[in-house]
Amino acid sequence: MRIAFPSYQGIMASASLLLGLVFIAPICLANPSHKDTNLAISIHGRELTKALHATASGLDSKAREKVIAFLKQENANRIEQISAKDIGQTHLATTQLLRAAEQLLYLGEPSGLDFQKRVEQMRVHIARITQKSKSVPATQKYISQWRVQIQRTTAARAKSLEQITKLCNEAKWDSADDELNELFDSMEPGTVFFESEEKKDIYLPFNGVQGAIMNAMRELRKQRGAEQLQQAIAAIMPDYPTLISEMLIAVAAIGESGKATYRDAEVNGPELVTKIADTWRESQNAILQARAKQWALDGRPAYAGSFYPTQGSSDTEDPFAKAHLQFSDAVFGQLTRLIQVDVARTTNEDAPDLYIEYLRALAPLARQHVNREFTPQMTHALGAFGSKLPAGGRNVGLYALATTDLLRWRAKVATARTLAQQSQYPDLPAVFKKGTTSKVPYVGLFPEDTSFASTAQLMAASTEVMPVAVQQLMGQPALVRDVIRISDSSPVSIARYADRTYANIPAGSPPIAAIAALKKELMVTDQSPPLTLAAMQAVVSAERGDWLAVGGDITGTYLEAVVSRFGSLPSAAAILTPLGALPAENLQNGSLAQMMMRFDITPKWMAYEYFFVAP
Amino acid sequence: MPSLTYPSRHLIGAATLLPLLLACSKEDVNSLVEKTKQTVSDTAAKTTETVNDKISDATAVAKEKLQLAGKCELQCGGPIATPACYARLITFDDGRPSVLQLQSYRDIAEESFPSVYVHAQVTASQPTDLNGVSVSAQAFVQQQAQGAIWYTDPDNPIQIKVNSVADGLVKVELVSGKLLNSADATSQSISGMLEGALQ
Repeated sequence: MRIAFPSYQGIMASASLLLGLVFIAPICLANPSHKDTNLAISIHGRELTKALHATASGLDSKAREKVIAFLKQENANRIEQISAKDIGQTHLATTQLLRAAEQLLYLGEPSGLDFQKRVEQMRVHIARITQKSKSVPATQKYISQWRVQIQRTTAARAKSLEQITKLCNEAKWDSADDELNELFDSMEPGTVFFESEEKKDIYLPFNGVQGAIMNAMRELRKQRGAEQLQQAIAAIMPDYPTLISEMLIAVAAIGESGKATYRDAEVNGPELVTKIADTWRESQNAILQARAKQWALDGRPAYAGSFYPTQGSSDTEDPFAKAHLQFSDAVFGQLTRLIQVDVARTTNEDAPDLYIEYLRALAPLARQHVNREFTPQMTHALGAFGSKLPAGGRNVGLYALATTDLLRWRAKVATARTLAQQSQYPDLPAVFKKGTTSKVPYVGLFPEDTSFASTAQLMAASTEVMPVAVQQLMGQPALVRDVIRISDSSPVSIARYADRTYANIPAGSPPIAAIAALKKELMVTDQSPPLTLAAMQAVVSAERGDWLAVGGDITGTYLEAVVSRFGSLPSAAAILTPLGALPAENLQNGSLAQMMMRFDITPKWMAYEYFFVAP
Repeated sequence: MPSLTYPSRHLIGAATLLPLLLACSKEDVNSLVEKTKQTVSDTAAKTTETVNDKISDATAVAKEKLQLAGKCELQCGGPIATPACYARLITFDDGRPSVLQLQSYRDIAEESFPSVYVHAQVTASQPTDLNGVSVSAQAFVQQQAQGAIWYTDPDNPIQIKVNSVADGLVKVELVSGKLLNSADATSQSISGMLEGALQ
C-alpha cells in the first residue's frame, strides 16, 4: 500500500473553494471535479450508506477547512494564532471520519478508502502543527487545564469502563461501541497534546474492551454490509428466464395475429423490436449495477482488523458477463425469430411497409450493439421478406448493390479523416493517463513506472490527485470514439465507456447539408426510404447525432470510482456501454480502489460514420 | 548502412575510376563524365523499357488469368493506373434515379490497390442510354491499402462524361473536378479515363 505524500500545495489549491463548501449541505452526491476537487467520491448504496456518507462528508469538510486555516497561519509564521481547542477538535473530527470511513468500506463504498487517505493526508499536518503549538503559552495553559480535567474524571472513567465491560459481557456490542467512542471522543481534543506515556496511563485500562469491541463491531459491520449488498444484488439482478419467456410469448402472438401484448403495451412486430431493445438495455443496466455491487462485496476488508480491501474479484471468470452474454444471444435469437414469424404471417400487400418499419426499428439498435456483425446478421434475417416484396425484393437487392460500396468508401474517408486528427487530438484514455500519472512528489492514479500495465487506481487521497489532474487535463485536446446521443431529443451525447473514461458532449445542431448530401447519394426522400438496414442505420444515426468520433477540448473532469459509477447507473445512462456485452475490468489491487474519469468535451469536429464535419 | 570495415561497391567503383581521372586533362574529364552519364542514361532507359515490357507482359498475363477487364488511367497529383475496371448500371422501378458505378475491382473481396470507385446518379434505364451523357459524380481513389484517400466533397462533385458504350465497355472521361486528401485536406484536380467492363 502506497501512502500518499501530503502536499501543502494540494490542500491550499482548493482552499478558496472549500470556504464556500462549509455552507453547503454535507450530502455530497457529486464527485471530486474541476468545479470542486474536495467533493467526496459518490456512493452506490442507499439507506444506511447515505446517512453515513453525509456524516463523513461533513466531518471531512469541517476538518479540511480547519487544516487549511492552520496551514495559512503556519505559512505566515503565526502558529500562536491557531487555537489549541481548534487543533483538538480537528483531530477529533479526523478520528470520527476514520471511523465512518471504515464503516463505508464495510458497505463496499470506495469513498471509505478515499476518506481514509484524506485523514492520512490531514493528520500529517495536524501532527506537525500540534507539536509546534505546544510551545505557545495559550496551548500550554489549555494542556494544563486538560490534565486537571483528566485527573478529575478518573473515577468516572473507571465507572464507564465497568459499564462498557458489562455491555461487552452481554455481547451488546453496538451500545458498548457507542459508549467507548463517546468517552474517547470527550478526551481526544485534550489528550492529542499529551505525550505517549501520559496517554498510556489514561487509555491502557481500556485496551481489553477496545480490542474486543473493535473485533466484534468489524465482524458485525462486515456481516451487515454483506447482507445489504446481497439484498441489493438480489433486487437488481434481471430475471432472465422470465424476460425471455415474455419475449417468447409476444413473438408467438405476433406470429399468430401480428399483434402482441408485451409488458402492458399493445405492439406490432417492429414496435416489439423497440420494446425488446428497451428491455435489453434495462437488463444490461441492471446487471452492470449488480456486478459492481458484487465487486463492492468482494472488495471489502477480508477480516476484522484489516483496514485495506483485499484483491478484487478476478475478471477471467465473470459470471455476470457470461449470464448477460447468454441472455443477449437469446434476445438476438428472439429478434430473428420475430422477423421470421411476422414475415410468414404478413400478406404480400403489407410486406413492403412492414419491411421498412423493421428497418427503422432495428437501425438504432444496430448502432448501439457491441457487435458490428449485428447489421449483416439482421440483414440476413430480413432476407425472409424476399418472396413477399414486389418482384421478389428486386429493388432491395439492387439498392444494396448501389449503396453498399458507396457507404464503405464514405466510412473509409470518415475513419481516415479521424486518424489524420490524431496528431493534434490524442485518444482520451491516453490523455487521461498522461494527466494523472504519478511523478514525484505527485501521486496520481497511475504509477510513475509505466513498464507494466496498470489501471487507474486511488493511491492517494482524491484531494491530492485532483488539483494536479485538473490543472493537467483541463483545456487539453482529446479524441473520443463511439459517441451515442442519450435519446433522439437529448441535448447530450455520451462517448461510451472505454479504458476507464467516458465523456459528455453537447449534441449540438445536426449538420443539415451533410445529412442532405448523404440522403441524396442514398436516393432517400420522404417517399423513398432506405431499403437496406445499413443505409437506414446510416441515415438514422446521422439524424440522431451518433458519432464515430469527436475531437475537442476537455472542459470538465470528474473523478469517479468504478464500483460507485456502475453500482448506481441511472437508466438514462443505459447506453454507456455497448449493448450485448459487459465491459471487462481489471480489478488488480482491489475493486474499491479502481477509478475512472468522466469528461466534458467541447467539440471542434465530429466524424459521423459516413462523413466528417469540421466547423 | 554501408559497412565501416569493408568498402562498399560504390567506393570500390570510385577508387577504380580515380587513377584514370587523374591521368586525364580537364576536357577529357568532362568528356568522360558526359560519356559515363550517357551510358548510365542509356542503360537506365533500356532497363526501364525492359521493366515496363515485363510489367506490361505480366499485366496481360495476370489480366488473362484473373479474367480482368477494363482499365483506369487517371491523373490525380500523379498517374494512377489500375489493370481492371468494371461498370454497372443499376436501375430501379420505384422512382429512384439509376446509378452508374465504375470501380477498379470486381467486388470488395477482390479489391487491390490503387483502388478507384466512381458513383453517379443518372437517368438512363439501359447502358446505351448513357452514350454522351455528362453528369456529376462522387469519386474515391486510394493508392495503398493503409494510405490516404482522395475523395469528392459532396458539395463539389466531379464532372464525368460517358464517351461511348460499346462492346460491353463503358468509356468514361473524368472531365473536371477536384478531390480532397483525407490525410491533409489538400485538393488536387482529377482527370483521366475509365474503361469499365459492363457487369
